[in-house]
Amino acid sequence: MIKFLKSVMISNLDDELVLMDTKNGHYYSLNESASEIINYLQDGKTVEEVANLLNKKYSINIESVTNDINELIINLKNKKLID
Amino acid sequence: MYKYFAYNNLIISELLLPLNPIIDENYYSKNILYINKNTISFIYKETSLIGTISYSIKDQEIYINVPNVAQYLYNNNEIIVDPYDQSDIKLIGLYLIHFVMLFIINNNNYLLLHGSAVTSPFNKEEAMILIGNKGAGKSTLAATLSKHNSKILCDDLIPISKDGLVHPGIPIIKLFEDSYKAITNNAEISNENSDGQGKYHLNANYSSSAKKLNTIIILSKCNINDIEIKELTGGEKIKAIIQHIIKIDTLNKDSFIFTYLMELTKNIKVYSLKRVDEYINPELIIKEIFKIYKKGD
Repeated sequence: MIKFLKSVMISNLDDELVLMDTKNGHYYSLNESASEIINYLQDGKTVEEVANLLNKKYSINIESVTNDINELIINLKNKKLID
Repeated sequence: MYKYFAYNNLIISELLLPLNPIIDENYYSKNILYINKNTISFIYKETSLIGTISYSIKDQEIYINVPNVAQYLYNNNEIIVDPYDQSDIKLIGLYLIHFVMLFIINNNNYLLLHGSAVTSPFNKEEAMILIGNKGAGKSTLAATLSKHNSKILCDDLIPISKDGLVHPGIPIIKLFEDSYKAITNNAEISNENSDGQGKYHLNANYSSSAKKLNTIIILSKCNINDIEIKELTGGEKIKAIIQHIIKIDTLNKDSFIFTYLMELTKNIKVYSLKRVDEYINPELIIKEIFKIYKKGD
């Protein structure tokens, strides 16, 4: 499960997640696919569970989607938006 | 002394302001704001706010400088106004009500955008906002739209309340000489309609009532052949608009702006309009804008 830091404000807009880091006023937006992944991870699902879900839903290669999810998590960590 | 009521304050003013005066001598409000005319000598480093307008903050004092109009200094429950020589009394009041007071008293109820706002050419109860960097053609396009059924709501500073209403602001369209002449079919320019900074005030139809925001168009010039219009969604909308929000860092909280923007942009259309980086007849741009509306029907 991922959890955004308290300093991060999140809102949905046109099926995308828009984030703002109140520490520096920077804005970030996650496209529809990334937003869907984040929503699953925030609900408590593991990376593996999300990859399986997306594989069933969109017939995406599990290995490729797992890499994408991990990359997304690393990006959010690097930007100090999640723990 | 003149008495007014605005932004939840009883205003007792030495200056005549563009507001409806209070006739009742016994009118009472717990919030009283005094407006007095005096000389201001506030000498802290100024930060640019929008165009040539700048501000400075020291302790509880907020200073705003509007060149060729007036300097304003707020402290506690008083705004001191120090007009520049030969400045227009009407402009001094308009900047005070629609700009200085918005920041000082009401900065958590309004969002201020830098651009031009007009009533929609297709629905007079709706507002269209044009934003973009300096020279993008905001005022010229607003002036051209005023020849196509639109009325001007404001130019330069656009106040938008939380309910998505665009309020009439400073209702003066300022145009460079070439645009002024093109819009007015070569009307003579004079010192009377000059703003002293190379622009000229246009006589256009203005709206005096707030209108529901329907569309924001972000104008830019770039290296393309003609005109390109693209609808923006999600984060693109926010990133495009955020650059044109006018804020005083210590007064306008980022969290407020975020919440406000998210709510505001949920129900409006936002378009990016790019055009070739050379003169283009504004009527051609208007034609492209009208196509968007026709598609939406």
